[in-house]
Amino acid sequence: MNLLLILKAPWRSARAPVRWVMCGFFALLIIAAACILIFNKNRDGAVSDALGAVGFGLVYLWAFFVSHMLLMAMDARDLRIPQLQSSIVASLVLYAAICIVLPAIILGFLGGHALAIAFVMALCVLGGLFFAWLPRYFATPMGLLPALMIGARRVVDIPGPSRPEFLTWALPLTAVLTLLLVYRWRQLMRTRGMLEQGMRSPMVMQFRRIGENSWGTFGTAFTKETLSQQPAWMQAKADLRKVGPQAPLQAIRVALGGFYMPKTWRGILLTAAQFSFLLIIMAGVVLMIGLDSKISLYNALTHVALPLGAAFSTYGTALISIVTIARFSQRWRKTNTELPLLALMPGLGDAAKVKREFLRASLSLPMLWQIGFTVAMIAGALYLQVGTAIVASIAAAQLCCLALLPAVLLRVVGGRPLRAWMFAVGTLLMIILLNAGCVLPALARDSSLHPNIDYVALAVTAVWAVIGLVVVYLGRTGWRSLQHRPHAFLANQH
Amino acid sequence: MNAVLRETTMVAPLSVQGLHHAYEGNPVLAGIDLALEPGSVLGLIGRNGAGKSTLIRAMVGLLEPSEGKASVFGEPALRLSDATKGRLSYVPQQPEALAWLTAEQMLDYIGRFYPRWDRSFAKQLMQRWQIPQNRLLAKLSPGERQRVELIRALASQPDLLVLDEPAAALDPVARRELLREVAVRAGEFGTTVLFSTHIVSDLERVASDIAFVHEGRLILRSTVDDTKERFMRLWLPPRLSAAAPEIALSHRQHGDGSISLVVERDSEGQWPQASHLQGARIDPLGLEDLFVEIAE
Repeated sequence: MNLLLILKAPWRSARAPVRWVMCGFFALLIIAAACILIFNKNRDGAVSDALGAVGFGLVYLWAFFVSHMLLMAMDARDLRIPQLQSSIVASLVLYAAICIVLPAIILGFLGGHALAIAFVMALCVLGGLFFAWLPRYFATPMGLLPALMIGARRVVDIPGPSRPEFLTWALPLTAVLTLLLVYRWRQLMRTRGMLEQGMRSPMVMQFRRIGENSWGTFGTAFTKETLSQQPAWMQAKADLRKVGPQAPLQAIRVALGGFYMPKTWRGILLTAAQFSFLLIIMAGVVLMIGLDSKISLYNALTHVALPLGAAFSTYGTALISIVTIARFSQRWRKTNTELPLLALMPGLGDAAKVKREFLRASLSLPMLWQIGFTVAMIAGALYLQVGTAIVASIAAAQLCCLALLPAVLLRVVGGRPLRAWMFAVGTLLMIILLNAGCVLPALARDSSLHPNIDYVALAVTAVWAVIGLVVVYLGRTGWRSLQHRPHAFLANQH
Repeated sequence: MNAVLRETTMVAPLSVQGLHHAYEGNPVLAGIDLALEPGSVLGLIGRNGAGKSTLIRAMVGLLEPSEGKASVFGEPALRLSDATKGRLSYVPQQPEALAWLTAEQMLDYIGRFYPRWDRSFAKQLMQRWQIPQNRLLAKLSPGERQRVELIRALASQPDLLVLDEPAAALDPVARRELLREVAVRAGEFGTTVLFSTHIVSDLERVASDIAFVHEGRLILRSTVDDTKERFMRLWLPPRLSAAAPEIALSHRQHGDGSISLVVERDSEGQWPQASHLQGARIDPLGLEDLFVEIAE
């Protein structure tokens, strides 16, 4: 086995922008952890906060960067390249060991409990891989976990790393996650990423396709390939009764398909059922906690349901933007789908009218949901009295995610789409900020433990403000481009 | 009134002038001028990547060219009125539109927008071509999918039918049926047809005119019969290579020093002088041979 190959495997498995962004992000967190250790006089608190920073970074590093080694291993297997697959496994084990042992030694030397720290690091590494390798339908509930953990700890006793009982649940959980991931690795190796499509495929398969000109399968929910894999009973039927030249908006909605398509009542119920599983998970968690006689339902609702709802809304707004943008970006690259049909279809009206109707059709439904999420978020934050700075950071995050959709959509339809890798990097930055934003309200309620939380919230708000300026610029240039385009249905090809 | 009518009917259904386009700096169309006569069937032929699809898309206003003009029935292709759109049908290569509808729903949906939509024709052709009506388009085979698109294009009874590689996914039987349908449309209804293809025999079977696109240029535009008559392969032995005519559609030097050229009759119908030299050899060229000679 070649040692250099083992050492370089993660670096070679990911695209340059991904590896540089992730390594830069992780380096920033290491610097932050070092600063905490140097400047915080409270030794126990410093170790705990530094552990949090390093762990947070490790989850992302393994989820979005190191996890790419699975893709390289799949290719190695398909191409029958000798030894590469075993080198990749060795590399995974080596880097996992480094990520677990090194922080444990350093933080243990500075007064932390080395074994507990090692298990925290192991859980972070495994958590990152779990997110990237398990079927995609696990990814969204996993995003809600931080909020759930912080909220649940107020009503359920979950021993943290500073307590000896920590190992009683961390040890078996680590073992279970390791076994699951080994099983998943073997399964994906055999089945070629579960055929790379659909919700059963791992999240990491999306990263493979996000390249210079591709969007992964984020926007492929209703493409020919995905639809052809679904059983007939799962497919919602279109309701064409009110469609025609007299109703161009409805006609465009049919051509946009998916959520936009006017559906029969059965179709609406079917779609709702497919996407209500998250609500069922949330309701189940609250119910389970609420059934405990020691905890009041009020506590269960405010400490668990509200944070969960907040996280759901936070990601909901962002995800709607990301998925919709990906979908339109892909659609506007294809010359054999609905673009020629819409461009040459009589009865829709003149170009200016069609542009207006198209924007109405494409933006109204997703933005309605996003506005709903935003209002719910701000109302929830005000109800919980989390403080002005936190409310500002929540509002800024929601508004940026909301404004992103029309801004980038205008660029796409205006013929100036963002490069997929630019959007991927921007999305990654947004997800990191959103995750930070999810944790802030919970931390703010322990203001005695986190006295500087308002400053952190203001810093996050400032970053969102900068992102907001970029979004406004994108929207402005996109709008101008669309005005100059002869019609809205010209494909974007280089 | 009659004068106005004649003027409108004489407008070229499809025309482009000085069309240039490039993808990421690589030229795809390099100054193409082309016009279709009303009622003609023009077969566009060329190698993969020659620019056929780009040309077709620019012609019908689905692409904004870097330079040049395209018009459909006299209107700028990029700003067509509803009336002109109603006279035009276009089928892209490997169509995938509206994958979430069934074939029946798709035709019902599209048919509502075309004033001359022939519902019974669509239904008959669906049955004749054995298209499963209630299956999602996403679940149809590429051949079935292509046929649904062809039904969609034909049922609107267009004056101008533009097909980008329509036969690519079809089996020989379906291909014959399509060509028959195209011939009927052109012959009986005066529909103007533009189609691109790799299959030279399809061109010979149905096209009245041929346009050869090579590396973004239109290097040949003629009637099919004229093309067969007008060109031949001229082979010259090494000792005569200096006598090769300067103007030739293709020029190939062989390892032994001999050369092969595709030459054209002059305005008086005569072959170049070199063809009469002792030792020179002339071979008639079929369309396929001509295509291969030029494209190689």
